[in-house]
Amino acid sequence: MSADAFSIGGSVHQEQNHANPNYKSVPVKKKRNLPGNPDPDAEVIALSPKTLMATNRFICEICNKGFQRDQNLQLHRRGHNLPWKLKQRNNKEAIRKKVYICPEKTCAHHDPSRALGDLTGIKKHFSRKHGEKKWKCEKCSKKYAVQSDWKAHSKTCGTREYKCDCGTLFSRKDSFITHRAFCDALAEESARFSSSVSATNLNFRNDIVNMSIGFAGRGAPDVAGIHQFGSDFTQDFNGMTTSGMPEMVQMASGNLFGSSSSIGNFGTNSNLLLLPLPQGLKEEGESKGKSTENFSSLYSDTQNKQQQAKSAATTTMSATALLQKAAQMGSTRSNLTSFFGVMSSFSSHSISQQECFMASSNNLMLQTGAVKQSEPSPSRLKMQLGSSSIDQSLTRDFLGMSNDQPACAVLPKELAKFASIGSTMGLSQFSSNH
Amino acid sequence: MFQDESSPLSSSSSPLQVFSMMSLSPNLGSPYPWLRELKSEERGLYLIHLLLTCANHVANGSLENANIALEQISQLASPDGDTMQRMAAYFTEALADRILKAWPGLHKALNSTRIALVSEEILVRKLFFEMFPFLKVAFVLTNQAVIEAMEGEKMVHIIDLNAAEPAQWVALIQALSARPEGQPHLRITGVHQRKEVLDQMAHRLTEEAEKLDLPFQFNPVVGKLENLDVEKLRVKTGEALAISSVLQLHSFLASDDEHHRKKSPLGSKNLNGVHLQRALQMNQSTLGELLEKDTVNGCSPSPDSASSSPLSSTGSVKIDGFLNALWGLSPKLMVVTEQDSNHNGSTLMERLLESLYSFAALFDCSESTAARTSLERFKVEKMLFGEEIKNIIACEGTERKERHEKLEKWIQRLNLAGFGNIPLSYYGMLHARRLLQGYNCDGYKMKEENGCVVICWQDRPLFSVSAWRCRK
Repeated sequence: MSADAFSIGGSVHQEQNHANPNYKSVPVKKKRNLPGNPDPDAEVIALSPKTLMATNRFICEICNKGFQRDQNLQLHRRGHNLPWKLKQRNNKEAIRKKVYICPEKTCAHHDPSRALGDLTGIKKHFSRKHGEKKWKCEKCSKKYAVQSDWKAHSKTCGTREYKCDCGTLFSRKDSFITHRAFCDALAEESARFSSSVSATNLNFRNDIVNMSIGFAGRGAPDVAGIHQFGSDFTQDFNGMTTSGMPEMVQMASGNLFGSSSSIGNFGTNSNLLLLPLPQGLKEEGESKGKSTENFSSLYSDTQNKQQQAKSAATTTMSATALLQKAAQMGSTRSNLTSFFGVMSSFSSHSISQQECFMASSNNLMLQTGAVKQSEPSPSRLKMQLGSSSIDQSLTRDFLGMSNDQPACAVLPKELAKFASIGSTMGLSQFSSNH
Repeated sequence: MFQDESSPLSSSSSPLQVFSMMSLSPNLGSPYPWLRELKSEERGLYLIHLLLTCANHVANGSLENANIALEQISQLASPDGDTMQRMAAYFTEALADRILKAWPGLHKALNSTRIALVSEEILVRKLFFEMFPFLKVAFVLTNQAVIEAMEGEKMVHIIDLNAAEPAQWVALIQALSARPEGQPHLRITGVHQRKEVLDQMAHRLTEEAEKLDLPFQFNPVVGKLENLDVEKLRVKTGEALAISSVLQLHSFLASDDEHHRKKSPLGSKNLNGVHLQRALQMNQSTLGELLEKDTVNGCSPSPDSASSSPLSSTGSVKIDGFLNALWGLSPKLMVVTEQDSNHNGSTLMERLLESLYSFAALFDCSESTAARTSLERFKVEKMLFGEEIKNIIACEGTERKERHEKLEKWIQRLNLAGFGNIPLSYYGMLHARRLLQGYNCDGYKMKEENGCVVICWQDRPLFSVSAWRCRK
């Protein structure tokens, strides 16, 4: 075993990493490293290309079997009944950190100050950069010089892909996002919009939408929220939004990257998003006045683009419309069961009663809705309460045809109970049924 | 425990009874996880359903059930959500307040440390003025009517029954100052509960008048309108008087003899006689309704018989007295702005249903006006709309001030009190329409009805403005 590796520096160390006599080593001088991140005390080692490329550098002299490590060779030698010795790590003298430089003169890592700290690392680097790519992926046409790279790639190749509008494929989400931020194809698209400022605003609006969703705290996020904000900003007093906004906005910023589609169009300006958000807040405030016209047109554009599955949730129904719908539903029994289907599946007993009560309440609605100007007579209201008698079945008599007396008869009783309430005798007394 | 509630009426199962038999397992009180998955529209519909359910329970006194409904609503309602969620939040608060009033001690205790910040009240009214066009339209129409009525008059005296917003009179001062026949001598008497408001108004108006060199005098009258002594208004002979009442008259409909009626709810039948007479005089078609109403009048927890009959005259002496007093001043003009909704029904359910529609329109309007995150919008909704809702739903008797009635009723009343309608001028309406258009929101609509103007949100009438003269 001949010691081969040459260390840069005064002393020559016995390096055991090569046994091949054909190996040529390049003597280099040890230089003092430039100040900076590299460890100035590290020992810079220059290995020849052959050394770096060699796979099994330890060869058994008997059978010429190659080993990557000396220890493995030694153990193999035992089988040949040859004298063997496992070299122990010598810790008596201080272990100097070793860094390796690339032998290729044109390479950046040829410079000792940019030496790599890991032997395996320098080997891989040399193969990747200056070596031949022998490994090829089956699915795609990518080639690799290092086998481990190839293996790692073929595991994820085709499993998950992000595609930018310019056609580039990414397997990693973060690289995809970053690419999109600077992609030229997107730049063309957003150049179609009149002012770049509004794009900033729009990004900000997305924040607000997400934020208001969080604010409401429930229900599916409606894209329609955007629409309302579009019209909102034409009025003045929206500028007086509270100081609670910045925190909210920052919270919501995480959401932005969640839905790739919604911010697809505003890629160029998303770099502004990456800045601290209060800045965006100020920009929005200043440019609000300018952008209002562009705004509504922009929103109509985005809404056109983002129809799809969100069609149901795009328009938040006004309260007036909801009331009318409720009245309408009261008049057609079929809708009721389908609508509250989820409810009946949940808890049939109590909910079904509510369902039936909905019928009666809808009748109340219907009465009011139909006869808007005049007051609904209380007697008819009560009648309908009586009419939607439930029993065991869910038949609902919407038109209140079964004019039953019980509705009226019950009332005096209820009234009597209630008289006792008036004297503040407490709920328990009430419920325990006088 | 609850099963005992079932009354002996076993033969027929009225929903009231069925609900009382509802088994209330503790699970029902726990949050339904699926509630959160509801989409906005479904949630809205479900909220309406729950609100009605709850109100019915409250009206019937089934407080346990009402409590359950309130619990469920609270899962879905929110003062900063969409319109239905906001509405539900305020309506349920009102319903809860109503329930709580059954324990007066508890109610008082919970409200004992509440402070009414004057500055906030003033701010909220200002916000309402700015955000919505309703008051502005009313002011424009009022001013135009004043200018037209005061043509040729040298001494003009205006009485403002709620002098809160200087902007109205600033505009009038400017208009009168610029009129072709020369400036009149202008006197404005403002009535308000808060002295600070009147001081501010005085300051602003005198400043404006001085700028334009208009002879001007502002007389503040501090106090509640219901306690107003017309003598304090100091109306002088020889001056032309105009009275402006913006959203003030309806509180007079709360009569003070109603609490006597509570004790004998079914005794309202005694009043049928009186009601009948009135009904025959006024509107014969509603007689049937009238009868039906009174028989079930006792349903609400604290029934009041100031029913929604054509004219509940016996129940509301105050308004007549007040109108008479005003008539006695011989005004040349009186402009009345009122809410145009029937929120004065005798039963809770009536009022709830009507107010659901009216406030749905108001909240929708609010939604189109300001962002959901707007603090100003929240304040207006909470301190103005919410308080009105609370008054309509939770209060009875003299406490219930927000007794809005439809325009046709006001027309009847004013006619009875000796006033004759003056149709609002074309020019005034034009001006008002332009103002509405300036709001850039096509929800606002304005229509003319018998010479009066009704301001609507979409199809729902919200406010009416009408002009009157003293008919001798």
